[in-house]
Amino acid sequence: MHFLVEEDAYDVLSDYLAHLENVLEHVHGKKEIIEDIELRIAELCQLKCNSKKEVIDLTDVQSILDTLGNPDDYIETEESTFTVSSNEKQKKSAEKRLFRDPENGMIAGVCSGIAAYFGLDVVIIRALFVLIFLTVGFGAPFYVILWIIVPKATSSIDKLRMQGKPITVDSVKVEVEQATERLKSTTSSWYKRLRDKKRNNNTLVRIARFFLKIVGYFILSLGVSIFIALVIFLFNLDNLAPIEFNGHQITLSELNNLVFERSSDAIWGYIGIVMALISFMFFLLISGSALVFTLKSKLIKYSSWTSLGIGLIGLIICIAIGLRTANAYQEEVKINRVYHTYAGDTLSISTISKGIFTSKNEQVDIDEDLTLNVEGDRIIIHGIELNYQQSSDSLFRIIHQLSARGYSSKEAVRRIKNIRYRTTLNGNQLVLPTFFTFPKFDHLRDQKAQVILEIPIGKCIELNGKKIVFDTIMRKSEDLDYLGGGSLDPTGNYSEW
Amino acid sequence: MNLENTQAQMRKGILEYCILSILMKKKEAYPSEILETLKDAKLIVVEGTLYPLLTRLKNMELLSYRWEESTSGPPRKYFTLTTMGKAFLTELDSTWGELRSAVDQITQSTSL
Repeated sequence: MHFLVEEDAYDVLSDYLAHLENVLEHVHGKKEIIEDIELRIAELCQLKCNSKKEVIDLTDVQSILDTLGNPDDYIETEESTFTVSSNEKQKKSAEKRLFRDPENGMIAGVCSGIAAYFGLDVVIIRALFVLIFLTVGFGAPFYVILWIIVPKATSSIDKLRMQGKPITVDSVKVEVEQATERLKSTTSSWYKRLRDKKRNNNTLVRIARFFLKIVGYFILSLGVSIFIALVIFLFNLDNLAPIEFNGHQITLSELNNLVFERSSDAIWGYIGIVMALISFMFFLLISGSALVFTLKSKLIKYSSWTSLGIGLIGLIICIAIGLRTANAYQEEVKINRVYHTYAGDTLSISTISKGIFTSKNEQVDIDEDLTLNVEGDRIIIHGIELNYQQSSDSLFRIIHQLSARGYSSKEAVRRIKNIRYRTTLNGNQLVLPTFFTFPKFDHLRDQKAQVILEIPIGKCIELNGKKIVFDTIMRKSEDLDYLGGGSLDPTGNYSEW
Repeated sequence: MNLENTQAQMRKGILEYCILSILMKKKEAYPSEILETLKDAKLIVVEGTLYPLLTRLKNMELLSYRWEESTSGPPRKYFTLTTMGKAFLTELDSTWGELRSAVDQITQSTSL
């Protein structure tokens, strides 16, 4: 059977069916009853349609639903005719459930519903919400989420459930009439019976439920912390990686441009991260509260699975971008080139640094990790390696070893050619810059500059005024030619490995 | 407690008995037919009440059903009484007879 149903009419209809499902939740043969009623609805729709009218609209649906009646009335019929035989049903119905209580609420009744659930004063819950909102700022969205996922207590049965009272004809009646005195006398015996029964039969169930609740609280708090992280992430995007240099900051987005081949990669990366975070947050918040408050509805089920799915898609995007970027680091190439040779006895080495580092007075507060900055269209890396090797003859050799990575060796070689690093030799004076540069469009691909000094045995160097004589004893490793080495930090200080 | 409520309570008690009786007379009926009869007799106000009742009677094995395609609408569930249902109905018949005479006796004696 096919009918054309207007959208608002469809909404009303599906609301009705959802409500029906809720009401019949603990009734034996629920699925069958709903199927039967759906068939009847189809039949009634058919009656509404004729050759002139092909679409079911809101008035049609309303008249159909009037004919069928309010689902709450069905279950009251059930309970009233079969009170005695349906002990089990009532036991289940008496289980406490979280509802919104708009009648006693300020906005949507979330707080009063929670208060009823925990048996606390509404004022306490409201104060907590306000406190959370003022201090952390996520009280409001949290409220909205609860607003969406917690069902409204529409019928008197819902209200009883909200307070965890057993549902009997009497208690429903009493709830309707607000006659609390009669409630006490008729329900207290029910209470006792239910409690005893539960204690004997359902210890395991209760323990399981208790653990589920703890898991629920855990998941919920995880969701809340992801939410906080998300807020921090979104609002402080450019302060997360503050690479300060000479009063100039490299922001995260700038760093992205240096790392990612295409700027679209960075954008996709963000989309993936935010998508994953938001969706996982929703998943955790929804499923956590569903566990904690033992909520069950199609909406919760669908929304939690949907958010989990979207989260996984976000994660896959992140992984894809990560793999692609990692791919750009695949091949490493090193190129050695003899830059100078020197035939004297002592090589005097001095260093030259860039910018702030040239002035010794201002070296006070420099963070040792600051190794990178951007000037114009070139990236400047501060700090190079210095290694000593035994010369095979009586000549000093100054060798530059440059390295970089890329998708292919060819690309890596191209990057190496773009690296600018120049040492100068003037008499016995060797000047080593402690920095090298390469163009921004080459991206950060592990570019390194290393100076290898080949030193004849018995001859010596003077590094920043300190004299070192090399003889065979100084060999540090099994590699016969290797004499030692260290790094020149951005300020020109030499530290041996 | 208003009048409507009391009326509803009175109707509810005998609804099942009536459903079984309708099925006894008609041999076989689908829900909409049962609803028509109940509505004509003003025994049922909202239709939805019928379906949980039918399901329960079926689960109690008082009723059985078979599917039948309908030319004009969705497939129909045709319900019939089982032998158990017939025996159940006979019991209810005698209970109803007793009840009726008891109620008659009381109401007539008080009204006279």
